[in-house]
Amino acid sequence: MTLTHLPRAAAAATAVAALLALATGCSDAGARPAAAKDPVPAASPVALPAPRSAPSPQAALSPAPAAGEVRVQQGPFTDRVQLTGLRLTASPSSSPSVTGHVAISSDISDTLALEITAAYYDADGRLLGTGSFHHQEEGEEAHAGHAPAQQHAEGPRAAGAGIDFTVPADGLTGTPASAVLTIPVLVNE
Amino acid sequence: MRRRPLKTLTVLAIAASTAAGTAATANSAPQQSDSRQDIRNVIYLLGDGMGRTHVTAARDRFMGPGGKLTMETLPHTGAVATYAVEKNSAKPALVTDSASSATAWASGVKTYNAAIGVDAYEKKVATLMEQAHAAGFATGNVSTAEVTDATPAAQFSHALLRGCQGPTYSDAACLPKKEDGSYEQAPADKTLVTPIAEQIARNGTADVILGGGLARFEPDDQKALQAQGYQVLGSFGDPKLPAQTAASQKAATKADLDKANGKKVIGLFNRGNLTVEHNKAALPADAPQKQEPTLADMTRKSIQLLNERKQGGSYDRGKSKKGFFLQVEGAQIDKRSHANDASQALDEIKAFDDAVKAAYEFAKKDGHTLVIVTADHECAGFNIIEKGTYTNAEAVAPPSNTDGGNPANNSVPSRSSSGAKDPARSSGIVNGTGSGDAKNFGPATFRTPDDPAGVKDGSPEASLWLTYLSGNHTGADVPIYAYGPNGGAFAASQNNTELYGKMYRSLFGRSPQQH
Repeated sequence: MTLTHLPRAAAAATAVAALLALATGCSDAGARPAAAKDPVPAASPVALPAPRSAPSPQAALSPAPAAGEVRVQQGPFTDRVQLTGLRLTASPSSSPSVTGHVAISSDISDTLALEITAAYYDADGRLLGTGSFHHQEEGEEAHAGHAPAQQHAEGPRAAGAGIDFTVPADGLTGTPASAVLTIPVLVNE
Repeated sequence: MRRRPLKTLTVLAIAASTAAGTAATANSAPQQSDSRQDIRNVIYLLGDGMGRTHVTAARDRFMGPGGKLTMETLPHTGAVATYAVEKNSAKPALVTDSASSATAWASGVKTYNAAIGVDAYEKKVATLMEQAHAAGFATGNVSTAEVTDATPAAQFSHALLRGCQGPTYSDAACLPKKEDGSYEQAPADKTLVTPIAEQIARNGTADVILGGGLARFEPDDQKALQAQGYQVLGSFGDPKLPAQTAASQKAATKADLDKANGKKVIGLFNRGNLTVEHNKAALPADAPQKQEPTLADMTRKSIQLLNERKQGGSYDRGKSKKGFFLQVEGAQIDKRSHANDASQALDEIKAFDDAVKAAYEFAKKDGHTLVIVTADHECAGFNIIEKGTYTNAEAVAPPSNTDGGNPANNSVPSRSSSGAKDPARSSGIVNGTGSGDAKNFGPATFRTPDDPAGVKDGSPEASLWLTYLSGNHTGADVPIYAYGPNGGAFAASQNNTELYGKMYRSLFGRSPQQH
């Protein structure tokens, strides 16, 4: 081999290396074409607004709901569930809560996450406080520590027979006469 | 790579093949010498939850056992291991979810189940779609699920939990829990707890976004998308309302998609997941679900839009034209397999295969497109059993293994006394409530093209008998098929994280820097 042939040989060796990398999928920095510029090495930061929060419950309802009424506030997921057996319990001997049953009516896959929030109102329609119910079925969170039992669903899946839920109301400033339910989180498999 | 004289390339290809040794595996039947071709486009299609047996069952069902689905005609075949890892460790978790698996091929890292675009230690990782976009490739993300769902999300968003999809932030949906049940502290990088819909609407990572999930988005998302030049199909709602509902939003339609011509397009065709094809077919002609495109429709249109798009990025490999990177997900295979719904799962596999056909046909004409078809994990232990037999789960008592004491294991197994073979479809008594209804439990039976006319689905005479092992994902390897330049690199047994590096090399012609 003469000296004049070296560049061609070197080019051939480089091409072989490139082909090897393509064929085997092996990491090989030496296979980089000279013309290639570095693509983005890490995720580019993107200016994002602060994460949106769910709308706050109304401070007052006018006219005030009927005593014992549990109203469902229409939202992003209310068309995808069936809520039945809604009941407000506000006896002096127990903590107030809303109980009911939820089944996913439109999506046919398992329910991974569900949050039901209740806003509690007094007889005059004034907001007393809120509570929430969480349901998790899959993922890292489902295997980690659980929330208190009264806030975390156990038993059959929401997409099948549905789940019974209780939305506890701790720390209210009075006795609730009505409640408004919202569903800020619904995630299906 | 510049084009070289054929003779030189042939020599180099032989040398490379010889040196590589194992690159072309025995199960690969290359039909072209593909390494010599420029790779301009990569189309990555995955059937969510589609294991090896799902493919076989769909082949039997629609083509007959002697036929082939389109994906099976691709020349390069292999297998993909799918396991995840436990959080804050490298310890394997043998059964992955869609989030962890999608992060693996999108970013090349093993991570915990439920993670989106972050590693096992909650560190954000770059995705192939982000890198392709930044380098000037056109990019597309298509799914029959909500576009905020795990598989599409892992290419164009980053979240600590897959449930953080929006439209609003919630601690429970976005923050992992600690052992004591309290939530982790919010990370310094607020992106990781920003609802995925909010991220997608603002980061511009995918030029074409097609799928479901309209309910995750709000009017300010539409405004942000339009400000970036997106053609928004349908309407994300009324900005005067505090929360959007089915009444305030307008899902996009196939007619909208057909007319779309923007350089950037987003079309959300359902407020949730797209309608399962089996159900859609049964609906009246005026049902709104009938307006949804199929996965094949979305694949064809996205390829058209991406192929026509003229890129102005800074990355240049000396090619005459910038290419594209497109991910396409057939999501409902998994969703129906979770429900042990063989009938609809099979139809969804066929719908997915139709999308594969659309990509394959483009690639064959184009000559510079790599098509990869695989899955994120198997779902539910789907299997094909012999006609007229039963599964262990149906047995009155656990079937005994008469070979248990035989070290040579060469006698004839027999379960004649312990089974519960049903004369109709062998639905046994231990399946629980509802097992009396033969439609509820396996074996589900289906006719195949080879069955005599008159044999009905669901009858014991149908030849395809199918069962499920569970209602969740399994740890089985999944199949992979490839066509086009560098397709042979996928003809191997490989880990799902390796797909990232192989696709990266296919697009960029070199290895990823972080590997």
